[in-house]
Amino acid sequence: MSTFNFFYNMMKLNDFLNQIEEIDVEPTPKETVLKLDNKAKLYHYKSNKRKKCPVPLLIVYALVNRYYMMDLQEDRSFIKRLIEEGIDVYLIDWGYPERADRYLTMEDHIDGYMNDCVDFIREKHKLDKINLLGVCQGGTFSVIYTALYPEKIKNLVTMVTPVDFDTEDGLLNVWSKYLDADEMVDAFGNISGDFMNFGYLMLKPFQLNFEKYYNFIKGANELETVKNFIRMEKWIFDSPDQPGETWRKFIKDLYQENKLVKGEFELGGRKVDLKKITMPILTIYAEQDHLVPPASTKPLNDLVGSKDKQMIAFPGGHIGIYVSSRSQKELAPTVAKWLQERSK
Amino acid sequence: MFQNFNEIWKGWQNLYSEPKSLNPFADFFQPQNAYQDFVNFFKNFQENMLNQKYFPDFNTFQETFKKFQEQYAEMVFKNFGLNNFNLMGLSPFYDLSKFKEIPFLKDEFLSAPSLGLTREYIDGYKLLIKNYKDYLEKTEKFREAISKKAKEGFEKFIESVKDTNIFEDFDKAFKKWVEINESIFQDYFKSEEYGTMLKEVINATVRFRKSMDEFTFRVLKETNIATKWELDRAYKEIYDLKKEIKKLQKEIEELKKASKTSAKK
Repeated sequence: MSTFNFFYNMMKLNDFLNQIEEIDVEPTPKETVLKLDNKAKLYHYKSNKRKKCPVPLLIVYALVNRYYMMDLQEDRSFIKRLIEEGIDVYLIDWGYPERADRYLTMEDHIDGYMNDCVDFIREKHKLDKINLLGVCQGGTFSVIYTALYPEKIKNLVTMVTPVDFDTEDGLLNVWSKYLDADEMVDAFGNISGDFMNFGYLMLKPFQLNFEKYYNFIKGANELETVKNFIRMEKWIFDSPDQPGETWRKFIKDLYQENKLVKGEFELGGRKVDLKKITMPILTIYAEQDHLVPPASTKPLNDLVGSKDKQMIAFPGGHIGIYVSSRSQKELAPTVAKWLQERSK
Repeated sequence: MFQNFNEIWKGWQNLYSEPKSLNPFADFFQPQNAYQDFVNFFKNFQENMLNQKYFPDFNTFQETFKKFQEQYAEMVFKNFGLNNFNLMGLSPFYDLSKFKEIPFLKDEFLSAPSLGLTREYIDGYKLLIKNYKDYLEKTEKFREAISKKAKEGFEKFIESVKDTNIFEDFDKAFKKWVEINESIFQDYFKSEEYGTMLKEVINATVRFRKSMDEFTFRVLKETNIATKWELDRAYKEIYDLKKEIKKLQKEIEELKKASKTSAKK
């Protein structure tokens, strides 16, 4: 691109930005069906489609960033695609923790809120078991939950889920070894979303802080392109704080001591044995994931007790797995089909 | 064209400032400030580049680009990076030199007679200043290390392109610059040296924050204002009570279910 074209695009960008009043996300209609006792809520996505899968699916997103990455816009919505394929979708929104939530533990999230949501859906649909899909840190929560409550889960799907934290493939894994989680939580209470974002931006400082914006200007030829970019930026900087006690355990027991893989991880006084996961499991990882490297995700299938286990390598990164056109065209229908076949 | 630059960049900044709802952290994260820095150095860089008609010679390019690289490294790590360590309103990239001259940071001041203040108060103040100085020292060390790497990136880039015609295509040159720098910083970020330094910065930040909280507590306890610690104790009690209520609610529900079942029988 010539310098002239670059500046010409910048001028056009100015026009586009002036046309934008508000950026909308989460196009898929939903209703709150359960309010939990902190900021968390359970959503049920509305659908006129015929339910091809009789067992509903609960999506558990990470505490890091917000769940609407999975429902960013009409043509980039993993959730919408699942619904179109006949899946009945529920999702936990963890909300924005405040200082008063600093004492919330991993037990509260998994034994408490997740379990309440699973029981609510089971009761509503009069089913013993439901399907569970965990995303990133929410995937780790889902794996732990399923190992503790295997009688409540029919099928487990994990997407870009860290399980084996003892790898040097990811910078987060390397840096976390140097953190004094106790001191940080004691001093700050919650861990700020800005601090977390600092880490994510530094994973690729020149690409994420500069090249991305350069490419944006180059490609800003249409209003929709500009809106798409801003939607993504909105999501990136929409980072809730991490409840202190949950973060402390996640860093110490998982990132630093890798207890889940070693069979030493405990929740609420109970050991988490991954061999107790015997239901069908689908593990999806992103080949170019710089946040949760494949080395951290792939070992899950060898650690569980399931016989019916499948692994999908997605050619893309941690975010592309939800928003890329390939994800919409191929991954979402594959997940839906996998669930349907095992939910009869 | 350059007369319009400010207007164009105002538009660019609109990305984060208007509408405000686009950036929920706008009030305290203020990325628009980051973009102002971006605007300034990028504008200068491009102005130079165009005025020189794509660099008449390699030395001009080298000088211009060196400045650009230094400003860029500073911008990235100031506004997107370490500024997020700015957990108590002090940026590690603030000009630290002037702090050395502030009287109350000097040892002579700290060892002066207490002038009627309690020993506890003086000790708390001393600890606060000590930890503050340590925090400044560690963050300065961090900044120096990052600058050193940024210079290394620049030199490596120059070395790799000096006998090429890569600048005929700005895209290519830009990509090369990103690629080289990214690779250098990736290696550095994985090193033990960086990890140890990161740990030192965070620990110094934590120590400073703690001593600041303790000092504030001492000051506030004489007033009617609740301290963070007092609020934390209240939060903990509320948290415990909520758990207790939830447990009792579950027990009641189970009892209700059990009584219904036995009534049916």
